[in-house]
Amino acid sequence: MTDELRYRIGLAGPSRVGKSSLVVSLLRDSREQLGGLPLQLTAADLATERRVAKTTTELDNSLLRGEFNSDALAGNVEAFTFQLRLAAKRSSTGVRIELMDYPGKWFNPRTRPDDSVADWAACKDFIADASVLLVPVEAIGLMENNNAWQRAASKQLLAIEEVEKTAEWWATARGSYHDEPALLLLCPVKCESYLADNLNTTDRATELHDAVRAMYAGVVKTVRANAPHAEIAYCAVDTIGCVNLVRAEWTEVGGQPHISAKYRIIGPGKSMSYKGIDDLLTLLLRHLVDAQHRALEIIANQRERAANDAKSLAIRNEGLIGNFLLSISGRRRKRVYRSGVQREEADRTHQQVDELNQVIKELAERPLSTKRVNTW
Amino acid sequence: MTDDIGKRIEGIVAERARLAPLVRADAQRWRAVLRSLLALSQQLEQQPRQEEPHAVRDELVASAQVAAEEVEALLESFERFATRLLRSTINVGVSGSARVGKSTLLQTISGLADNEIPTGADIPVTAVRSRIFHSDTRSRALVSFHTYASLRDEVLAGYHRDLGLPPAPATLEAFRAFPYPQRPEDLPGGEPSPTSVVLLRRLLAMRDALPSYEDLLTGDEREIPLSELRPFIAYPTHEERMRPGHGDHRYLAVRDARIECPFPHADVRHLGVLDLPGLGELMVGAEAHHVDGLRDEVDAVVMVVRASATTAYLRESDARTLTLLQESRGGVSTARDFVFILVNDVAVDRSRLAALRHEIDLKINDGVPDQYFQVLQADAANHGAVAAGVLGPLLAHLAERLPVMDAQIHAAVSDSASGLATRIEAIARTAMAHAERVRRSAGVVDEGLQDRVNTLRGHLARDLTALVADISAKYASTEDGEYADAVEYAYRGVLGWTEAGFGEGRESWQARALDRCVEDHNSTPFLSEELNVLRVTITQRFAAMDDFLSARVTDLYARVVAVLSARLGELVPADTEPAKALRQLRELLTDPVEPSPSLAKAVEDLLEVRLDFRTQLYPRVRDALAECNLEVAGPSGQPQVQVIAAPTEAGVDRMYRAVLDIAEQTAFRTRQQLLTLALEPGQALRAVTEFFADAFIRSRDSKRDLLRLARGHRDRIWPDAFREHDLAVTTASAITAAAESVVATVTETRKAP
Repeated sequence: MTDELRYRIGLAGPSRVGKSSLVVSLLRDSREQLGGLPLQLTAADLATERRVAKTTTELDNSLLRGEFNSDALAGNVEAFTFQLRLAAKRSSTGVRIELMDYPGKWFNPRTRPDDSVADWAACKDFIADASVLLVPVEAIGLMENNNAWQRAASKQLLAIEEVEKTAEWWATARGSYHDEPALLLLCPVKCESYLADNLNTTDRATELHDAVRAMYAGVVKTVRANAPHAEIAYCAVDTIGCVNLVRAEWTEVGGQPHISAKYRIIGPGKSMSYKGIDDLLTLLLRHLVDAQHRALEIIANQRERAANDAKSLAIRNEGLIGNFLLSISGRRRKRVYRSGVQREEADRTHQQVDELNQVIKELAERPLSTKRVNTW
Repeated sequence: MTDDIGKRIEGIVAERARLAPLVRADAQRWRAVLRSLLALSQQLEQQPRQEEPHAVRDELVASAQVAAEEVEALLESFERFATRLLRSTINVGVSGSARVGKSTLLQTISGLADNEIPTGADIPVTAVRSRIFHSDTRSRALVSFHTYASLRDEVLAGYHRDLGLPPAPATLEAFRAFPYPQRPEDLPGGEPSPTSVVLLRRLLAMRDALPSYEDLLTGDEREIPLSELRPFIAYPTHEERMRPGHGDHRYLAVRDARIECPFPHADVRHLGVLDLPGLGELMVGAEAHHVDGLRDEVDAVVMVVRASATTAYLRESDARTLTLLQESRGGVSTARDFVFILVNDVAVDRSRLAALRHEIDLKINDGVPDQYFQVLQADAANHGAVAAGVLGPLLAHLAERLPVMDAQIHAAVSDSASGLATRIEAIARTAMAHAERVRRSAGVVDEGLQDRVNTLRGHLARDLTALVADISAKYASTEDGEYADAVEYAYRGVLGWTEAGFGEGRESWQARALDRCVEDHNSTPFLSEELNVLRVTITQRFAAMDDFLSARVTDLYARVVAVLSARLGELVPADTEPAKALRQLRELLTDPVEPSPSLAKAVEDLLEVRLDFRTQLYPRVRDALAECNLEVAGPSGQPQVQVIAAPTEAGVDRMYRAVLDIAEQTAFRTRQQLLTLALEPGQALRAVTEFFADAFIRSRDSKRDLLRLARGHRDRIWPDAFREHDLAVTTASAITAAAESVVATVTETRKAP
């Protein structure tokens, strides 16, 4: 599929912040999440399919036990690149989305193992090449701090310093491509206990939004400085949905601050009840479709020009002898054929652009939660 | 003597008895004057030392003391006069040199025999001065004995003094063992005088004779038959002295002897005769004693003289006796009324009688017979002569002149009282004027107080403003570690309780749950009730923060007390429990005499501050606590049941975990919510402090009320500032009061009838 473009989504988040959960929740039941949109988001390879299935099973199992403990989820031990394909349903063409997840301890130089330097360099290259920088934000650590120590611990836990550095080099790279869309997504996860639109009743949405805005002010500032064209969006996500925070305890583990949270299952408790994932997908898709649309428009224009050139060549009068020779050698026929083919290609690309125009329209009309989403 | 004289004398005695209580009453009034005068003197002496009034004060003290001495003398005069008036007899004293016939005269008047009242031709015989009174029915002697103490003070002390010896021995044993010099040469003071030779001999004799009289030193009074009286009142005879043991010295133990017997010439029933010591006798303090004895006890004195072979003329001692008698007449204006000279007309002296009388007329009466002293003449041993020549004219004279003499004495005492009253009144008025000067010189206290109150108010305003700022700064940070600790403590308490199976253990809880759910066929009633109980318990456990909040209030009280104590002194004791100190202040401020209502209200409001979990924090966390309910509002507002479980063991197990989660979540959310309220108690305290400071310093009446408080308790607020002033004013008031009392008592004396 020659027209398939690749987009990369970079992740910036330390250990146990909820990167994998976020990615998995994006992918599982994506059909449901995409609703009536003429789009499909699917695993593009077997490894991705397996990975999603494994993490999903882990989450479901913990729910079946009747309680949920975020610490119970196994952390990553190596980098993994999710390969996804996004395509309009009626079209065979689409975009390849690559999302690299990596062990959170690589993110923080204080916790990064010595033998992971090369791996982390590869991660950095991947992030620099990504048009989207997704920053998962652990909502519990951000919201359940009550004193100076806990606030400092929260900052450390969220690796704000490293996120800022990552954002800086990502934005610097994006700054070189003014025509390409860039998106910074600040994405609080495990927000079940702070938003009242899912199964819980406590509404601390504004408090959460303000806390993120305050904590990540430096990140926003550096992106604005280095990639002024980049969009910055905020989207709060319930990565589990059917849980509610019972209590959280700050401790120190190995000299590092740690918050352990105990949840209880609420509602029927049989399955996840995601919320905000659809908004996150919408934001991502708007960006990706826009990027695809822009790229296809360029291709369509190129192909239109080529088709026109081919047609001109096919019907060009090259004098009596020239015309005779073209005809007798069959080159005229070939020219006409090629012109026809190029016309078809140009027309198909035009059609894809039209289709994407429709998707963009639909995505633009798709409502976003005012409590969960904001663009800055 | 006639019955008429006897009746008149009876009348005199009766009149005297009527008058005596009045004189005593006068004396009583003057005693009051004396007391008030001494009190005034004392007050004046206590006056704080100040320069100018000090000299005046000293003069006043001196005057008051002189006046007090004069009052004492006056009182003595009153007393003596009263004693005179109270006597039931007319007393005639018999005086004269030794061996002129005094005792003979006494025998003749009293009818007593020689073995009762001794007489001696050549040597002194009267050891004890007798007082003899007519009695129709009795013949007895009442003898009162010395104790050793009275013997020591009245007899021995004089000998010791005159001989230059140390004070007389304190006890009888000490007297017995006293190392007296055995020879006059050993007496202190060098060459002994003839007198001291005699005195030492007598003193040693008294000590040597101790075994003969020491048993009598009892202080008792004994009735002695007259026939046995002699050894108690007379020296031993020569023969007796020659006996071993130097004879009977019982007279040394006798202090006084009163003899009652029927007088042969009993026309005058109220008659007594007193044996006065003979002048010239070598007796310690004899002359002074003579005068004292006369002054109080006799109405007239008969001085016996005799023209003996050796002393044909008036002796020097006679002249001295007359001088003394003159002095002793007291208020009686003329000696002629008081002193009579009896020329003892003894047969053997008759040849020299004329010469003696001539000398008396010439030397004593200045050539005019009976001009200054009436001269009687009779043989003292002759009853008839004594009756006609002595008693007759003497009693006739007294019957006529005693009322006059009494009146003279009374007038003399009254005159001196009147003059003294005027002088004392003047002293009192001077003292009042002096007190007024002292009071004025102490200054006007209210002006000084107002200045001090203004300064105090300024200081309090500054200190309380600083306190408000301090409280504001202290509680301005959300990082209130103590508050967070209190929240955490309460939270951990709840967790400990939930983890312990809600205080009853998981198994017990689950068993109870199962029983109930099976009984109900439903878990809802049990869960509903249980969650309600849990909610209440969690709330109560968070109320453990009350200790912390209460400590915060106490801390505020302590700070306020520190500020107030520094400025109001002991009105707000710093070493007392702060709330108690504030309550004490409130009591003072509500003093009904001088209330300070605005300040009292400020303190009252401060004391009524309520900072506790229920009123201060609960309203802010009740939403979090409300989560501990079976039904809560769902996402769209519809009621949503939090726990549903089957009434089975598995269901109850699930139920337990769910309820535990809900309880823990409720506690956690309450804790998180409380931690966001760290500023609240501090802000409440700050508001309370500001309110108190405003009310105490800036309210409309606070200025007036602070002045009232200061006025009522200035000595406690400024313990030293007003001490001198107050002392001066107090002293001045005390002096004025004492002086007024003096004037009042003096006025009382003038009201006397």
